[in-house]
Amino acid sequence: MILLKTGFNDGFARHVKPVYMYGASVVFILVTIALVIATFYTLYIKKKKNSFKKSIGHTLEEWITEVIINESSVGVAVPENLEKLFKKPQARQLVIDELVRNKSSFLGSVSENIINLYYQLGLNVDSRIKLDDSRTHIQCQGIHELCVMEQKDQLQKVYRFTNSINKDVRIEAQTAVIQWYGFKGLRFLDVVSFPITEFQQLKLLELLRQLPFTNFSNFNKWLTSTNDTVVSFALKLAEHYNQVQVHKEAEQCLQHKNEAVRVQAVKTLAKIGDSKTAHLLTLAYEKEKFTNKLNILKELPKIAGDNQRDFLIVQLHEGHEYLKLAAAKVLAKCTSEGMEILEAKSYDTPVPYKDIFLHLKSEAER
Amino acid sequence: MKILIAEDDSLILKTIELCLKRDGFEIICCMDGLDAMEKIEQLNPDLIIVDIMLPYFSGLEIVGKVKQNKNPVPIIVISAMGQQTVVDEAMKLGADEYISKPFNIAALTAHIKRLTSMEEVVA
Repeated sequence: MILLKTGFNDGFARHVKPVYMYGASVVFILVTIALVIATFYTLYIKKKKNSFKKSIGHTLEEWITEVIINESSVGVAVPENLEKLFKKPQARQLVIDELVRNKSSFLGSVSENIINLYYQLGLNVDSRIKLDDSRTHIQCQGIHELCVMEQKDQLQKVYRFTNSINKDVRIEAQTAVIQWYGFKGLRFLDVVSFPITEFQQLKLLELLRQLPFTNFSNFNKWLTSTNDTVVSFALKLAEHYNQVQVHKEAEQCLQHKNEAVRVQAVKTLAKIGDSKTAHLLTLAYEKEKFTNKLNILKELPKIAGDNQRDFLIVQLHEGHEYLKLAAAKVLAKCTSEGMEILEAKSYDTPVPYKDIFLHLKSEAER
Repeated sequence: MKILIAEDDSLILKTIELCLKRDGFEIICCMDGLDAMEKIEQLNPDLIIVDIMLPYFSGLEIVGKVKQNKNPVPIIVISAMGQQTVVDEAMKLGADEYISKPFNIAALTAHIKRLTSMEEVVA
């Protein structure tokens, strides 16, 4: 009715011949049928894969466990039924997955036996082939397998991926190189031109934390890298490992064009700085934006003293309330008579200094 | 000596089971927290090895529950790398020992022997 009233039906019928409508309906039905068939086919393939996994999973698990808990897995005989099975790529991948999973959980003889079995079944070749695959998730899988199975002879190939255009491949390769060579593996920082994300930086630091510390070789190069994330990461390393010898280079990073680098430089200098660092940070403060101003005030308590009193008193009067509070905290904590200055200020100008003073007083009493 | 192992990864569970069986222990296996809780009540194991991350009941819940009993049995907690805060919590709840993945089966066996010999001395 609505269509008739609006005249839509007339116009529509005039311009679109019935034969086109039939044609469109047929195409629509065909596309729908194709979609339904494709969906069912995908589900069938998935189901087939799963049932294959289930059918051999238990047998494989039993056999793998028997082999890896033995004194030595060298020269182990593969049962006939499994030998045939190992010709299927799906079954081989299943074994790799099981071995990788188990290798990540055990050390000692079990771990050695897992690697021996991986070699003996030629699964290292399967992992190596994955590195040449054009699909990045397969490359990641290959790198991960080689990393867990300690295939250090693949360093050259894996090392190239540390500067891969793909973020995930890069992350996997950088992790592998460090897992294998610890602090020496960080030499990829010399050449990496793509960003190292914050998450990856944290992941690498956590990985390094579990490894025995050896010296850094190219710190100066990293701190002057054209890749800002490398500079940032190097500053983090300097902070975590107290690399006081790069103090001067870290100071220069206070002038870096990238704010994230400058923020990290402040944190690093607060840890490795000398008697002049507090003054340097107060000089840098003037040119900074809000985030790094607050960052400087948060880091200053680690290094500030009476020499910074005048600077801090000025900051009490200027800028955002957060900056005032942060400056007051440093003043109270690091300078003699800091609390007295704040108390006097709270009488002179109660808003906002009375609240700030009371807040710091209660904090000090806690 | 009955040891209950609660671990949701079947291959890891099987590996620990076979290694400890070889050392002469009687092993009870569980793949989730609920099953572990039930078997602890029914079978009274002499020692419990429990993974922190388990379905239904976590390893921490199991430690808490077992250590509330009148005669609590020793518990070894298995944790993944970087779970130190959870491990600290487990120790506060009364876990007797912890071991982080990846671990050496020999180290696990040493913990078991130490804890069970201590139990014998106490008994």
